[in-house]
Amino acid sequence: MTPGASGTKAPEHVTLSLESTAELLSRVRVGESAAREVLLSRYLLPLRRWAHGRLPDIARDLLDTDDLVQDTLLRTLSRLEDLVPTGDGAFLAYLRQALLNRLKDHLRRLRRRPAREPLKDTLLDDKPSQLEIAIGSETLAKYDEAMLLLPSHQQEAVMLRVEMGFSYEQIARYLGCRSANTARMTVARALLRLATAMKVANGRPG
Amino acid sequence: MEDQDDDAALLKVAEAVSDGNPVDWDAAQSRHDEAEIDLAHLQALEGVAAAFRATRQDMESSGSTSAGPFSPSARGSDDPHALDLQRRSKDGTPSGWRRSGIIRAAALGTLALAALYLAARLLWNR
Repeated sequence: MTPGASGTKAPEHVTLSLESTAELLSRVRVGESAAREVLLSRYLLPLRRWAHGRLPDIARDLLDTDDLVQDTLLRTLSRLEDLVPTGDGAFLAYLRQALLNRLKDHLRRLRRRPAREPLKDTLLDDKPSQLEIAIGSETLAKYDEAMLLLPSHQQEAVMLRVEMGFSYEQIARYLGCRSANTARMTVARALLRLATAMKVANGRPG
Repeated sequence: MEDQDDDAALLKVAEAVSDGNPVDWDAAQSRHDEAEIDLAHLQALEGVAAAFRATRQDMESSGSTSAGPFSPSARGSDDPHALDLQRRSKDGTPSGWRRSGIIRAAALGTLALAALYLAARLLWNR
C-alpha cells in the first residue's frame, strides 16, 4: 500500500500535514508555529541522511552533522522573508544550496584546524564522501552544477525523489500536484532536463 | 507525432531511472539515436540515483539518524508530535537546550568548587 492511501479519517495534525510545502511556508510567514513544526518534521530527518551521505566518514565523526542540518533548517524557517523568495520549489532549492555551502565550510574548517588531531586532518584531505566513492567526484560535481541550471521546482522534484527517496504520493502532497502520477511525470521531466543540463555542465571548464 | 513518441519513450526511461528499475541502455540508444538529450547523461543519472539510494539504505541499516517514524517512506512522517519525541528529551527539553544546560551546570559547578577552595584558603590563612 502506498503511504497515505488509507481510507480512515486522519487526526487533525495529519490533516494539517497534508498541506503542500508552499501552503505551509505561507503559514510560517504569518507566524504559525504548527506549520513550522510540520515542515521541520517533514524535512529534518531526510535532510540529515542527505547530509551524512555528502560527508566523508571521518568528517561525520568530527562534526555534528545533525546540529548543522537542524540549525540551517531552523535559520531558514525563521528568516523566510529575507532568505527564500516565494515560488514553487524555492524553499528546498535554497535549503539544498545553503546546506551544501555549510557542509563545504565545515570540511574546509576541519582541514585548516591546527594540529590537535593531525592524522585525522590529513586524512580529511583525500577522503571522499560515500556519494563521491559511488559516483566519482567529477560526476557528482557536474550533477550539482547541473542541478543549479534547473528551475527551482524541478530541483525540488529531483531532490525529493532521487536524493531523499520520497514516494510519489508524498511528492504530490508536498509540491501540491494533483496526483502521484502527476508527481511521477514531474520528476521524469525534471530528470530529462537534468540530463540535458549535465551535457551543458560537461561542456564548461571544470 | 514521431517527436511525441520519442518524448514519451524518453520519459519512460527517465521514470525507470527515478524508480530504480533496470534500463536496457543499448536498446534505448538505438531508438533515440538522434535524441537531443544525451542518453549517456541519463545513464549517469541512473548511477547518481543508485548511489543516493545506497547511501540512504546504509544510513538506515547503520542506525545513524534512525529511520523510525521519520523515514520518508513511513506513514505519518509529518506528525509534529512525533517530531517532538525526536527533538525533545523525556523531560520535554529540546536536545540543544539540554546540551547547553549541561555545559552551564558544569561551569557553575566549577565556579562553586573554586569559591569553596578560596574560602578554605582564606580560613586556613587566618
